[in-house]
Amino acid sequence: MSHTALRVGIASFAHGHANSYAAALHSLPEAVLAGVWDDQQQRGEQAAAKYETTFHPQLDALLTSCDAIIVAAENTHHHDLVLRAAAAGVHVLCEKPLATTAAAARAMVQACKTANVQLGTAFPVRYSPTVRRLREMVRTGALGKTLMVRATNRGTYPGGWFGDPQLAGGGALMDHIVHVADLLRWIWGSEFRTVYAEAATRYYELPVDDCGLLLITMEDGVVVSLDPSWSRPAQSFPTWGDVTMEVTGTAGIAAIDVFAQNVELYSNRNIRARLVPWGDDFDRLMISDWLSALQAGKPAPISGEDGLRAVELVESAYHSARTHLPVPIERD
Amino acid sequence: MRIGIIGAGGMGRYQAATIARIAGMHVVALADAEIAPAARTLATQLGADILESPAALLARPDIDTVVICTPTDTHAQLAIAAAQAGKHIFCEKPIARTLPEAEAMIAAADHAGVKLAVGHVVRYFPAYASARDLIQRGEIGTPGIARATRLTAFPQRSSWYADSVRSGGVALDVMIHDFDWMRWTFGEVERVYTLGLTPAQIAGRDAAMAILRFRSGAIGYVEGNWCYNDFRTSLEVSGSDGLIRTDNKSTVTEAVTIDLPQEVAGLLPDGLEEGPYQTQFREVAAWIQGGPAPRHTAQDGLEALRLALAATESMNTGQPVLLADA
Repeated sequence: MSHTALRVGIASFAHGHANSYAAALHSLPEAVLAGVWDDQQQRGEQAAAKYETTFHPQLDALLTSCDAIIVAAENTHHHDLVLRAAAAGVHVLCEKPLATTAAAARAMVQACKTANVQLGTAFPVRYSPTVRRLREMVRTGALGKTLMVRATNRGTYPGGWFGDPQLAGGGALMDHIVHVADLLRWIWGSEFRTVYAEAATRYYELPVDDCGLLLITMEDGVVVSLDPSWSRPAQSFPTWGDVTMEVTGTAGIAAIDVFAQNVELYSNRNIRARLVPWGDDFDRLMISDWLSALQAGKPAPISGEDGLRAVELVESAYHSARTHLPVPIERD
Repeated sequence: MRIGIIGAGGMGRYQAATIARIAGMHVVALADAEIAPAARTLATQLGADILESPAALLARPDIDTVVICTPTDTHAQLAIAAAQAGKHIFCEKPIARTLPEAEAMIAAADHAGVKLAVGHVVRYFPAYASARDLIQRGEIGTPGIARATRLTAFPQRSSWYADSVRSGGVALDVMIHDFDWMRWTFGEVERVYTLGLTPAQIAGRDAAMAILRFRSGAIGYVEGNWCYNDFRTSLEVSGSDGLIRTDNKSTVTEAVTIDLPQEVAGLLPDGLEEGPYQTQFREVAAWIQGGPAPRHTAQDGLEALRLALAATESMNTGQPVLLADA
């Protein structure tokens, strides 16, 4: 542990990604996992024990012992936790989606700006080497002008609070639009113009949507389809889901399948076949890059504004799904 | 049955060769304004006559059934003339370029007491038929999202495809296959929204993506794309109890690279005793000869056209299109 190691805490293990962030913090030399807070004491204590750190029953106690925190609470709690961190002068990396409404996301961005703390949004898929190569191909014009993109971020239904509108703020569309939304903006350097969406609850008896489809127009004229459905059968599908993009350009086609690096496992010990991943750990790469930026006093590599732009698309998609009309994306 | 083929281009020749392999089917003539050398060779092989006009073919009393494989915007006129000449008709998809044309074709066949069938061969592809069967049997529970993509090269074989006024572009020529399969499987569509390249009229490129909302509540995604250099299809349907997926690449049983033909390869499933076009015509021929109706009717062809035209309208207006009660 170096003297300049950042003291980073984790606020809530409600989202499973907290575990990979904790593992990254635990192993990276540039940080020390300075503590854990959780509104569920047992979950927090277990996590603290697992990652050899302190459990704080009070959030303020965590905030006073940290330079930065990672918020991995239920979606609708992001807003309050980020505002508490900002008030304490602590940098924040917030799990996606940044918030469940654009208004909340804007307030978070503003609060962090006012408090002069860095707000980052956790979009680890940017750290996929495959995504970076696609971005390079798009930026250098290897594909010509992009005409159309077909994207998916399909998954299994995560269960638990993800199906509770009070905590998740929505269903599959809330959970799975934002990753691809961020990639679209980052790869093409363009903002969203309109979105049309259909949403439905077809797989589970839930008070939120579990499937849907989006058609998006970008300001640079690119048209995109996005499937954010929880359509992978939870008991039989061999992996959690996917992130794919297939790009039609005037000079060629490029297809990426970010999580294709797997070994197939057919075991008599488990009826379900499994795909065992062997690709890079994007969560770890993201945490490392975020820590480097904070140590250098630079802005968070993926900003609160990036998180906000994705939330604006989600909000407009839900609006479209209710009205059955294409909806222009309002910014700020 | 004694069959005349109208249109001796790539599809006409393929249909002629396919139909001639079915027991009891005799291809007796091919008619086209321009006859390619390949058509002459085929006619010789089949012992069929070459005729220089559809009218000459319709005037032949020894022909009872005509197969129309001409550009889309000529289907209606030829089919109506064939009906008036008392011939049964098998017309390649799309049934026609416009809905009034399609309605006139169906009315003309009814009036003349002849049978009219439309070639929507995807219903006869074993993988697509099997997927539908599995869904109907409830293997995947309540269907949620259905995704179908059909990706291929911009048609080079004939110039009329590039003219969307004549062909209807990628929606009428490509996506109509999956519109038909989805309607067959999930029932009627409530609304459709589409984004695509057709309105931009980019030379040598066309593609579109449509979202369908079915009255049953299921949601469909159909993509047709003429920007690829090979032929790729995929189908995925997810439901409350499972998921089905299939594609034409992972189901190839023979991979041989010797001297690839110029035409895009892989259009048809290999390793089948009877190919889908043959199954299709066998089923249509049985109907013409008094058997049960084929799995795809002319009215289905009209409804598939209605969806393709709605998708095109949505692309042009930027708004979803509501389908009236069928």
